[in-house]
Amino acid sequence: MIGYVRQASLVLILSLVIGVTLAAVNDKLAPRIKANELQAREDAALEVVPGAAKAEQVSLKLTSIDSKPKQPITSEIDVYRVVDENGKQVGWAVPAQGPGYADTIKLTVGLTPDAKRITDFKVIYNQETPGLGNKITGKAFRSHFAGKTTAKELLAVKQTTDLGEDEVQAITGATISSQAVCDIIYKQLAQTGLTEKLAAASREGIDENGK
Amino acid sequence: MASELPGGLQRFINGILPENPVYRQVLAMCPTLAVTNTIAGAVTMAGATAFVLICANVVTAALRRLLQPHLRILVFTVTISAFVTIADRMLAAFMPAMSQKLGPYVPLIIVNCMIICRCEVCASKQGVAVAAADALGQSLGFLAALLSISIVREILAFGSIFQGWAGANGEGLRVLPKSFPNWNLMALPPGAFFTLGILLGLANWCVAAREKRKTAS
Repeated sequence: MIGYVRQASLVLILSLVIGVTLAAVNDKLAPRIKANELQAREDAALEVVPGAAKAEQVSLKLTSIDSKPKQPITSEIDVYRVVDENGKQVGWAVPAQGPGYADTIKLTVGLTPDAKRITDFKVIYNQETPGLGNKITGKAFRSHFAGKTTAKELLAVKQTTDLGEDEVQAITGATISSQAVCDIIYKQLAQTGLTEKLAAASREGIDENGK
Repeated sequence: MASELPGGLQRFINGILPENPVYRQVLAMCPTLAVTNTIAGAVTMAGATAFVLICANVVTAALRRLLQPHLRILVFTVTISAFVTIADRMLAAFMPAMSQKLGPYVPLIIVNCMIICRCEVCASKQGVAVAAADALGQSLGFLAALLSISIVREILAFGSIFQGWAGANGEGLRVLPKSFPNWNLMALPPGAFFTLGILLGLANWCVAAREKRKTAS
């Protein structure tokens, strides 16, 4: 028994030392990593709403009905209320995520104050195919989303003209990634009743400020 | 026995070309194939690997007299994974965009055979200074290999170099004319295999040609 412990002593001591070191490193760096993530989300919030000067984080409670056991599920979501220089609300920035062609795609979606129209979106995280699917981060694809509706299911289509308010032009060679972005946005906004919540919050905000 | 093993300088030089981890030993294929579609990604990966390799080699060399033969692999792995975790957290804290781009490939440095191979071949048998020189040489060799592959791939795939580092919006410096269409295949896994295969063949051909000349003269 003692023989075994003596043999393993180096591994045991080494593990202990390494454990303490890693804990110290994590302690030192964790706040910075967290701040990086928050900063990235706030920057995205300012980028996706035109005329934005400041973004304030707001927590919203959502109630959705799960289909299998018919029970209401409450969940909380952190959104950004985006205001201009005078403090007037110019829109919302909402996080959304869902499956892409490869791995999850994480987005921040910009909305008008009444949450009826999309202003823009930004990809926070993606592992889509380089050169094809990862064009969802490009200006060209993003620009198709401005002014689109949040009430209807969005479709990525091949035609380039006469696009409806629920249609965006898909990226050549990346139909799945294009449609994935549409689905992620629609699911987050419509199915959870988030748009109504946001619109109501906007009206309340106006009442509170007496404007 | 130690006198039969190469010294520090020899170890350092060996790592760069004669025993290049990628072209001569054909180790560390996972990062070589996965992260070489841009130069920025390749250099960051080579840097993180160098940090882990140098630290792991030095620690292993310092502990080499305490190693139990049958537990040595365990000690190597524990040491390597500790430094990989530190490297991973450092990247997330100070280079968040790059950390996200490299994704799982940073934690995967733990299973990079090149590092465990150096611990086994050199650091567990020779002193700290030799082990450090060896790690430095191997790291430079690895950097050279990743850089050569990524330069070929980035130029052919996007027509530019230093994407993410130079140019407006990090678009990189254009080296091919605008009329050159983006060759997407080079940014995808097949491009990695093609480039690695051709460069590996070229490296072996050079070595073979040199040996032929040596025996002839």
